[in-house]
Amino acid sequence: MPDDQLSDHALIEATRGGDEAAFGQIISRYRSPITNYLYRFLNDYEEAVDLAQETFVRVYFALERYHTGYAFSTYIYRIATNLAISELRRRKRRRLLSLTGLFQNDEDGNGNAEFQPPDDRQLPDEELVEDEQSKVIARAIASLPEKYRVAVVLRDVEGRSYEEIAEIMELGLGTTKSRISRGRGLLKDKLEGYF
Amino acid sequence: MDRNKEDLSFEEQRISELIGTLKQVDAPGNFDVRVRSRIAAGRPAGIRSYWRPLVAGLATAVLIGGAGYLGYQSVSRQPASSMTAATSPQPITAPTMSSPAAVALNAPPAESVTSPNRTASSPVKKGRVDRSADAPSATGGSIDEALKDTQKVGSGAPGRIVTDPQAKADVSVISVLSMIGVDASWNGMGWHVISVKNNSLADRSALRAGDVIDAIDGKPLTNDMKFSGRVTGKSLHIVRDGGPLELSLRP
Repeated sequence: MPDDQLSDHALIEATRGGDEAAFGQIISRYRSPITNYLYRFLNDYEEAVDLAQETFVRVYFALERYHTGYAFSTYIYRIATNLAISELRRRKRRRLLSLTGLFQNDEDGNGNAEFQPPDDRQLPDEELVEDEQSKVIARAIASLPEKYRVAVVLRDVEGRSYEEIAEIMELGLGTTKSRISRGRGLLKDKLEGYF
Repeated sequence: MDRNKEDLSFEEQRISELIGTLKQVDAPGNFDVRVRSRIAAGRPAGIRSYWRPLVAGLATAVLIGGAGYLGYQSVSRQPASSMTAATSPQPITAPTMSSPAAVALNAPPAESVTSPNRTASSPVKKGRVDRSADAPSATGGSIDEALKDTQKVGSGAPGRIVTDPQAKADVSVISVLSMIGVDASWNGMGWHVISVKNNSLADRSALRAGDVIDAIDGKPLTNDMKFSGRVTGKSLHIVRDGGPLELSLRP
């Protein structure tokens, strides 16, 4: 059977058996969904691509520990989510550190060479030029607290089911629905002009 | 896409629709190649790592031997009435060290002799560890550091990292990690644990090779940050298998 017709689990098994092409098929299947998910989560394309690649690297090196009791899509989204949350927290800490100037490991002695908060720029890629409404929506999503942002992006950007989102976030179904609803409520306040 | 069967209010429905208008972005054309390249770059690290435990083991053996020799020298030169002084927290002084090896082992860490000017002029290298600047750490730190750690952590105090509060020089992250039995390298996102010394503080706290340490007591770690003065660490924030985890340091 051609690789593109095999299930995710079959591809994982084949990769474990040394079939590198099978892992190539996994990448091919999930590279854009994961990149899109991370892009909408972080609102930074370059960072999204970097973390998406890191997601596949983590998956590859953890193949032996992957249990097929989980849907692979849930597994890979969970890894991507955890990486994205770690990145957000790292950004937050760096902002804090840049303000407090606690460290002195810079090049020019002014205490902030390494801890400048990264900007939330988007790549000037023509494919990414979005209209004003899209930019406003993207910024509104990016301003949500992470726990609501994960839920809303998985639901309304990625179209994942409540059950799958609950598994990715390792939460109960009720809490998951509540977070999606709360996240949308926060977005409503930020996007009032579009009602 | 599972957008059906939701009983939404008008506002929620509208928000969901607005978000649904966002354009889907694709991965760049060279995505697969870059993933393959990163995977390939990860493998040599695994192959290289075979010698690290060996070096760490040898360094530990030399350190223990040196510490034992110094301890024996201190005890043998003390009158019986002052035997307890041999176990006091006072650093072992130079006169007891006669061999070149012992002198080298008791030398202060490279960081402690690094002038601020040197630090300031060093280029910041993301994703790389300047091993030469951390040479003492590769041998497990100085004897003074090792003794301080053992005395303070092993005396029934809560598990924690403790550096010398009187130290005027800065201590690098790799030195602090070395004090708790961790050999790690900076991977661009955190300190990737290469090995954990058996029965060290890190080992007892369930840290494993492969974990990535990104914060101590909630303080984020970077490649080249320095700790100055007293540093107490009671917990490590790590990433394990892609997931964040908080480890309490156990005595």
